[in-house]
Amino acid sequence: MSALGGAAAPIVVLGAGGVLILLLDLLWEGRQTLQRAAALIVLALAAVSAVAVPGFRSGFHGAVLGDALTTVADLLAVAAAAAAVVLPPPARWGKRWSAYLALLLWSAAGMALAGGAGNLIVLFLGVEVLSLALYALVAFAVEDGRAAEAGFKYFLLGGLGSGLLLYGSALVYASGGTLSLHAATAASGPLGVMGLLLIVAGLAFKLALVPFQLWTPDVYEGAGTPVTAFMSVGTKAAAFAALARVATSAFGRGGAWTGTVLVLGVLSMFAGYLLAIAQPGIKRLLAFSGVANAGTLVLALLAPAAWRPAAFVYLVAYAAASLGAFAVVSAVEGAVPDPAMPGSRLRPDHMDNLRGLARRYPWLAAAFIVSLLSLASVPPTGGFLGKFLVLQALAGADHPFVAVLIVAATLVALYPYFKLALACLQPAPGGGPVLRASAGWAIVAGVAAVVTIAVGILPGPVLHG
Amino acid sequence: MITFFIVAAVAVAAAIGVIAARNAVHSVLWLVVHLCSLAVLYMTLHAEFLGLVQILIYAGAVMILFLFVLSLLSARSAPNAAAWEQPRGQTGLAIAAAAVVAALVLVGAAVGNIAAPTQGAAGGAAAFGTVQTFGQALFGPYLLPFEGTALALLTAIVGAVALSAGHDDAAGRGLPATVAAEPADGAPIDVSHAAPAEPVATGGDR
Repeated sequence: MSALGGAAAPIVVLGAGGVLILLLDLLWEGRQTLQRAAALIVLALAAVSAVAVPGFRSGFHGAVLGDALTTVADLLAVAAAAAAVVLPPPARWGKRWSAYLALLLWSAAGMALAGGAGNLIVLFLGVEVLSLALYALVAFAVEDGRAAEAGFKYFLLGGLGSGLLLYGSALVYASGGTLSLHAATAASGPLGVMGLLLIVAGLAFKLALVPFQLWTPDVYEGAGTPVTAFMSVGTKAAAFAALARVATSAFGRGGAWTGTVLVLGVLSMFAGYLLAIAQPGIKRLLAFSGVANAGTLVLALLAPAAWRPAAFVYLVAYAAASLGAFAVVSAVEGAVPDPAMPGSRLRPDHMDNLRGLARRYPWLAAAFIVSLLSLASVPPTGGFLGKFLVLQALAGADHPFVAVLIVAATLVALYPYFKLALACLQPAPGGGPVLRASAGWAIVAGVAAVVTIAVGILPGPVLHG
Repeated sequence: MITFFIVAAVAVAAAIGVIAARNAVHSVLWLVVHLCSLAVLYMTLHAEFLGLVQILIYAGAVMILFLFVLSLLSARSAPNAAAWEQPRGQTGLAIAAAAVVAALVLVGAAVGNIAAPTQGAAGGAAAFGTVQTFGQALFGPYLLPFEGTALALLTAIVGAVALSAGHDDAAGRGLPATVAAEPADGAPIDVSHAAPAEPVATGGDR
């Protein structure tokens, strides 16, 4: 075990970093720029430790696994947290900045814990830490009724998900006598199978797979947009990593497991895209798009030999596109709306508020459209390459029918994304939204667009871990 | 074995009492009974230290905390704890669901074999449950989960404090000077988008 526990290094850095931010508040009370800079430095250190700690290997007696899946989950959690730190929040946090930043860092630490978990205790703890921090972050603008409602809903349903995960872990332990994720998921017998099903259900809550997605649209809409961006990427990456570990060792035996993943994935894909069509609010639309993307990603697990590179590219591309899209949403949401648009008075993230964006802020609109094209899997973006690799893996693994279903769902998906893209190209009677001056949106949207294109053209670094 | 069945029956009865009691304080008292019977179960499994810790921490400290919170909350809001809303029809459904799950677990346990733990019982049977093996396990194989639990508790505390501080800020009871002195990130924030400030649950009666 190296000094920092090998693969556990990012978790240690993030956990200690959160404490440090809270302590620095004594020196820098209310000075948000300094505090945000410190949080970014902690995140940078965590990213470095996730990639570059010498002898990157399983730490703490195998409690955290040191493999490419852990690295991807760590890096995505860190990137999502960095985006949430850079994006300006929807309200003034005042003295609460340090708590906001610390909770973001700890939530990322929980994601790293869950994403790299090597045993059932660590998995549950990771899910708990990331969820506890997110419950508070979602409701952070307490006086906003929608935020409080979203936080409470997420708390109740997230608690149910955690309960299922814990109960499943207990049953798996009872039947297999071991907590190690790899050994435990080979558990057989009725108890073991029921436990595994409960674990999958608990993770599906976090991944927002149909039929465990009910909380998603309300929570994504009610939370401040930086937090929505953070959870849409980090939570999904961590929960997917955990699900993949459970799946790849348990599903090797085929049969019912393949069916479970198939049903969850296909339902999420179609329900997500079809429900996305009817949404007038951009955040709700992107929430359903996230449900559908998680479904597609889970389907990649049906190719037991070849899912890794495909899922990595897909995850990174989805993360970049999602962060980019939410960055623009948070810019538009905080803008002075065009008084001539009827929808803009109904809700701040109404699609009508995008109109005129391309004329007034062409670069921001371009970044938004790149993100949307990636989500809609149009070449040459990363989203296209990710989906292509998933299809290739599925075809190679004797699941051509699933590949056909994914293609069909992608065709459905074109409609909602193009509707959004068209909205920001249309002229607005009043000239469109006027954004608050801030570099945060431009930085996140720009970096996300560059990464989206780069993954599509040069996927080498992602493909090879 | 007889001890196990008696204590297990008490534990289950107390657990039912927790959810069936109309008065929240009675629920907490039932929970104390439940936690104490769990402690007895631990002791019959030769985990004496764990049993003692269970009584000290859960039945003692945590339950006191529960009672404190309850008395603080009910002093402010619910004058009549017995008038809690009783969900209709859900009771039957919940009992049915619990019965199905219990039946599945029992059948599963009867059909399949419950394996002996292969890890965790460090140090052999004789030393199992002593403070020494407990400590070695806690700071050996279970160090990361141990620290992770600390992180989870810290997260919950900071989250709760931050949320209640948000209430105070918005109610003007915090330190408005610092809020105003916050270096704005650009032009003033447009608050017209914020939903009408409805009083949220506990904030309404201040």
